Amino acid sequence: MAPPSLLNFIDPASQLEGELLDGRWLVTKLLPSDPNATGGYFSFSYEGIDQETKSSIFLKALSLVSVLKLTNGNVLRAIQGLTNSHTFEISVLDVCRAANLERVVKLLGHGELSVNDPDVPFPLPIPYIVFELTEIGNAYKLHTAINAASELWKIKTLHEVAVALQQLHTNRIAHKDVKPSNVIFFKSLGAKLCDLGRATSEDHLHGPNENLTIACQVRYAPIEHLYQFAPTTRDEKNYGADLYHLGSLCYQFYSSVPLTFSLLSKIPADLRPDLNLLGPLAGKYRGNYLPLIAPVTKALTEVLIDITPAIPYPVRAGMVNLIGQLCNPDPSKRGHPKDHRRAVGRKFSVERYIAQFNTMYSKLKISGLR
Amino acid sequence: MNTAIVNEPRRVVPRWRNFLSTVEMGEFSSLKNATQIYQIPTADINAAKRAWNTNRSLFSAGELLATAIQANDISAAKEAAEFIFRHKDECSPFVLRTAQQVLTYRNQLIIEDSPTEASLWRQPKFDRKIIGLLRRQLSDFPNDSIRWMDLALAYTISGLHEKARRAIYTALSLGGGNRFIIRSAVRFFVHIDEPDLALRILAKSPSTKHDPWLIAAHIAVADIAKKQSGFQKIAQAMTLSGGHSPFNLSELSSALATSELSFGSDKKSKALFRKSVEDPTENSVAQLRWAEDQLGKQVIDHQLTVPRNFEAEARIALSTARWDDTVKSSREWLCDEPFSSRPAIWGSYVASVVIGNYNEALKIAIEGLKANPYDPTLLNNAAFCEASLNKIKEAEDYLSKIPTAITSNENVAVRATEGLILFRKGLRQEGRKKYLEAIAIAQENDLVRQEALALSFLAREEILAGDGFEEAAFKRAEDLVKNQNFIDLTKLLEYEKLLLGNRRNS
Repeated sequence: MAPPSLLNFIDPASQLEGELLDGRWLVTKLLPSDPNATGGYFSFSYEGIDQETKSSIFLKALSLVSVLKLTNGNVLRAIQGLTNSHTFEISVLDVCRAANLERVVKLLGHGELSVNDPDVPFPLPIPYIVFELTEIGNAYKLHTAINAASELWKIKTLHEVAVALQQLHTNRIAHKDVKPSNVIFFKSLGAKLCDLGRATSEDHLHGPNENLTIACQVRYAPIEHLYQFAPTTRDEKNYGADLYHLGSLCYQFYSSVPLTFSLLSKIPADLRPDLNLLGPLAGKYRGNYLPLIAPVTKALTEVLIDITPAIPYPVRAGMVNLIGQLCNPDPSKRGHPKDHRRAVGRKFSVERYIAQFNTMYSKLKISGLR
Repeated sequence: MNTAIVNEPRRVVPRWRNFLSTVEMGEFSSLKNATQIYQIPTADINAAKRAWNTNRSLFSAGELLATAIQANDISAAKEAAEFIFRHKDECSPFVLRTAQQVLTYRNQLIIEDSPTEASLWRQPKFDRKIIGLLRRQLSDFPNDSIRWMDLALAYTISGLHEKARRAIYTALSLGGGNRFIIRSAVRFFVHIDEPDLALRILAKSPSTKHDPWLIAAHIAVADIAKKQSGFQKIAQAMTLSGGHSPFNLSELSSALATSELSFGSDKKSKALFRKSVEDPTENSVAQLRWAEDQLGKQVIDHQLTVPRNFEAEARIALSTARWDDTVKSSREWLCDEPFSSRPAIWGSYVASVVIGNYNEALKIAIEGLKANPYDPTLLNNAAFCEASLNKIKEAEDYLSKIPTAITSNENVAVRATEGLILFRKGLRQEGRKKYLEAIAIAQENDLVRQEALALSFLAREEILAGDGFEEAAFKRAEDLVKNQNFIDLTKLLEYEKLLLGNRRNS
């Protein structure tokens, strides 16, 4: 880490307002860091205007110098890690753009801004990515706006998120961080998935997130991560995590709390993971996860029994069953049982759930619930 | 009365309790620690607070509640909980309960949401409502192997063995690798006298050869099935390797110690028993106390305190002639293992034969008969109590339910009870004949304790009848009891002596 005297400068990545990047992207407004977004530790977010189309844009600027300020330890490795992630995210987003994935936030452009300010002691360039801008916000904002009353909205959103995952999976990409803040809404297009900062791709088997050892936030992490369980196959690790997150999102839409939090509360304290950072949810268990699959399944049953009355009757049985399958405590069995029985094809697939959300949507409409 | 159970062999067959109690007893103890793969980030409480301040809704309140609890930020958790409580009609029951826990906590916030059936399991007496509850839940969520096993336990306690068997098969097919599921299934099949099936389940499970808890069960059940366990060598290596904690090895050491004891290797057996109680399970402590009874001396001279130590306490109370404590501990043991016939037999025996409290003894026997409706000893004990209370019809009803295929031990007891009923009916000559028949069978089969019991109760009936045979009958019983030093029967004879004195005086 550099000496403190050298670090007392204004981060150039936070000073992009008014800049015209690449002759096209006019940066208009620095956004407060998104309260629910993750991965924002070394980046700044801006609103701007595409000078060619006159449409609004969202710009994420990476701050390599903040790595110097915030990293304790190997700074070069941290910078390398950040640039690798950035390059990887662009390449994944490029794949999504090329495949025209309508449910994944669109990459509009990317580039690098050189820093020529003599007051900046480390004139590292500022890499940036330009995305389409949500006019509405993420799931939190929309959920608040419609006061959680629209049952149709929940199913429609879950359907769109499932489609987004299906589109990614078809392109051999796993998102691995599906949560309410990463579901953003557009007036005409509905929900899209954003933030592929934790994604993995089968075309980049040595991608930066492939061996990511920092789990996502505890309340969203698949339960086995808290017990340090390593999935046995790559698909189980990547696509299986997407299924868990989709199930957790379904649960959260009806309960308001993430699934992993509820699961932990239902597991007897002696069997909860011995992790201080879980606070009052911490337990005493330090052993392997496999012997706990049965107790965690029991805890999941309790969770589902509790949530059942909160789900509207026409979709109740289907939704509870779906959450149970997607969040199966046995990571190798996550997803639809029929997918696991088939000899070829993806075992961790969301395809059947897309159809199920469709059916649920129709049932709700017919029942007159809104 | 039948007391053979007191001296019956005992093996370290797994205990079978409901899931929550099994967890409390530490039986989910892991064999080795997991290696760290993931770094788990701390809760981003500030982000959750900002989201809450920007968008106040149940959705963000739930998020804040979850994050604040994890981050131990009580004021933020309370703020979210208050909001949730104000909107309680729109909340899921779980979120509302969690909010209530946050709002009512005092010193330390402990978040634990007990399962729906927990309160029913925690009642002192088994409540059959639990069967309906578990069945309803399983019809909606049939993949829960532990719930199937708890249902099987509830069926077993209710004496519905075939239904229990089906529930156990389902549990095994869903969670057959789990120690709790396997050990519970093993206990069930031993309970219904199918130890070979229990052995097959253990042998088939890939977990068995790595898990000392399962190997201990295999050794114990093989002994019951009169077979040699194929895991003996692995077991011995495990106890010597130091690769497992003393708690995980407790029942395995105990099972090996019991094998050594049956081979007559007292020294090896004692060393293994000592090892088994370094950090013991309740079952190992009970096994040690049983072994001490067999060896006739203490192996461990200090008290061993473990939760639910009811069987060991009953054994100690019995061997030290603390009769009331024996009944009390037997009752507690019966509450802990309501399907087991042993605690009911012990409790009803001591309460009736030694203490003479037939009403209490009858209650215990009836409790035991719920799970074991055709147990000859329990049926006979109930019949004996009813007859002693002069309820002849009820006594005959119990006796009529006893299956025809019974052991000679049980046969002695049944004949003696038939004799008692005849005496109480006023058919003394026939009653006498039955008692003498019982005594003859006991003598033929070298069942000295049974003979002493039959003689003692014949003496009681003769004293009560006053036909002139009482002195001779009492003398015969007294001689045998004194000769054999049966302390439980000494108390009975003291009472009879008093009766006899009164008779002489009158």
